[in-house]
Amino acid sequence: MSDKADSRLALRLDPRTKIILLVVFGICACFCRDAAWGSVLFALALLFSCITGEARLAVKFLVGYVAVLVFVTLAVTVNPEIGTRIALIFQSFRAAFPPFLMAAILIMTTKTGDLVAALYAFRVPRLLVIPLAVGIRFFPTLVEEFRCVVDAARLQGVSFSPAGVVRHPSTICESLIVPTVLRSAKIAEELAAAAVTRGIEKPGERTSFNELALSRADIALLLCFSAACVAVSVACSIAKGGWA
Amino acid sequence: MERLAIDLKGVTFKYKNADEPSVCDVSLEVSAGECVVLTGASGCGKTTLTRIVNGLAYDFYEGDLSGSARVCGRDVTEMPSWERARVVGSVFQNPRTQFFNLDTTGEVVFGMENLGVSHDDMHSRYDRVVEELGIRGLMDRGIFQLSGGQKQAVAFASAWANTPAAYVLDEPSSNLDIPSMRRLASFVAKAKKEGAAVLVAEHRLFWLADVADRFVCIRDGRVAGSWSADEFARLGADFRERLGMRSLEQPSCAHLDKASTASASCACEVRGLSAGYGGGLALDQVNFSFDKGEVVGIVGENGRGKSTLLRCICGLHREVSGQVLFENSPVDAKRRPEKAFLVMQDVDYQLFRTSVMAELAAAARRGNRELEEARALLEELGLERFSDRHPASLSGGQKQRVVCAMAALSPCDVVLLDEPTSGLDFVNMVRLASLVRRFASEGRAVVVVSHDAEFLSRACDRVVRFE
Repeated sequence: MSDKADSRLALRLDPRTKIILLVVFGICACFCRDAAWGSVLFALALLFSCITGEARLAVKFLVGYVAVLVFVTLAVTVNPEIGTRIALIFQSFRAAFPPFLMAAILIMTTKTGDLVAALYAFRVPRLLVIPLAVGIRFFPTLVEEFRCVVDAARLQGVSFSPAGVVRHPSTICESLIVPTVLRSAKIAEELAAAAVTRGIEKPGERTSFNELALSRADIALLLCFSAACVAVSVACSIAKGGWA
Repeated sequence: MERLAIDLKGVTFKYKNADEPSVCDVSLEVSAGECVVLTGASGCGKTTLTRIVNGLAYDFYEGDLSGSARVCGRDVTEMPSWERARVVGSVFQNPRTQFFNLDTTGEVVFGMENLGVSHDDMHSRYDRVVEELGIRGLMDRGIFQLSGGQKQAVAFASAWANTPAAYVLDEPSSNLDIPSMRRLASFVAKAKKEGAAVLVAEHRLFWLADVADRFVCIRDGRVAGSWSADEFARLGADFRERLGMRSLEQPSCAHLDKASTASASCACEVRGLSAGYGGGLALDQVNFSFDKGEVVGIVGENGRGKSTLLRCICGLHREVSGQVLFENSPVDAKRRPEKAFLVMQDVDYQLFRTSVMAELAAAARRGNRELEEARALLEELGLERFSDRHPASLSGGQKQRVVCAMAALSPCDVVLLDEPTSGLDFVNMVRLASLVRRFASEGRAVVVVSHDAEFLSRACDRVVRFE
């Protein structure tokens, strides 16, 4: 989640805008599952990513997307029978890229407190908001922990080279998974305890330090991107012959 | 406000799955503006007592609580957790895992947001907290950019923002360096001046020397002694150590400030080492060497430099320039794990097999040693009764000894330890010191990064200051 002071951010958006657009992209992705229109939708997501100042994230996702496309195309060319089946399996994965990117943008550019406030503004029940916020908060910590776990394994001579992985797959799994799971359990407990001692269980209204407000940029982007996504979905449906 | 901020009478608490109560018939009083320090061996029950006061003990960590526990005259068990949050502020041991938010400002106001404080009140209280604790420079930053001490300062501010009547601190200095501990002590002093009561559970006592009013020793869940600050300072070292308490004073390590006795058996030399992370160099042209059979301590203000040095020596971090030589021949980063073993600050990462014996067996295999050696080592370290237990079920000090045993069985001649005593009580600190000296007497070279002067004075031959 965002930890930056938004000073050089291209546009400071209300988290509700990002949440709504995430849902829009998610729904439209279901309609645009083929490679051509799906890629148009993905291009829209990339555009949004650049607008919100997350160009680097856009590049990472683009690289992944192209890799999947190349892999699938190769598979089909090399062995049409098996390749087509592989293409089918990967189709949903590829189609999910636009909403995944939107989710990543949401997580990376929104402060925890603002996200929680936005979710409450949407009347999401507390029972869902807290675990969601904790889960999202958990990931950067998990990444750090995993790095430490990998270090510890290297110290004991566990080799992460391809040869090493092939020779001792169980040691690799053990040395990575067991400490990570144990640490995760401990961290989750400590996080929860710290939150409880600061009143997170209180029912009723929760106030917000940064008051959420939809700016003109929010409305503009919300309307433009929603319209664009819907247009792409409609075009895709027409092209596939779904509508007359 | 009641004169007695914290009032425990005959409190007994047993965790749900425990065989015995962790706390037995304890009575404790802390007045407004008073600071009481709970200390004692690991597992004595001091953490449980802090949890009883902030209500985690029977609510979050399930168990049976009997006796009377009151904060500001109100029964702790009759308040819901958010009411308790208003009166008791808590600061925990690990700075990394008590942040709910990923940005510092959000963290400071987190409690206020939960409790529904009005927008204007929140902002004025926020400004006050930042002013009073002097942490303006830490606001609006990401927590992953902060050091442990800075994180702990923000955690304290987060508790302060709710203007509680009592603060409960559970080993808050565990991962901190000396300047951060001093800052924490200043916060405790400020809290006292505001009229809050402060209850601290701690092993390391020296940082509290000027702010604590009373020291209470807990042993096996009961109060073993209670002294005013003056009385405690006058306690004899023997008496204190028998009760498992650490000293109020930091012994001087000046006598260890000597140059290395140049010997032919140089175990490891670091030449012109520069290393860093994305943002810049943590090590700049560092030269350092140490010999077989000696224990060298590294001290200095916290920064990534000391840890980076250890990580470069054992091959976990690739340097930008310079060399690391073992027995006078340079060794590439990839091969260094065979030469140097690092006991990490948190040994949880290093234990993953299903039993203690399995861990040692694997280490013995790697070091080409007999299984018998591993078994004998277990006995010597007093761990043979844990040999079939899962390492995760051991206490912190026991886990650390297991990892040290792994170091002893490994093929490495160099053993590195990174802040090994944070969170260790007196008895385990002494055990570790003798283990480290044993490594040296076996001809190994040991380097310890630590700011624990008590430990350094017992374990090291010389101490090097790192700037």
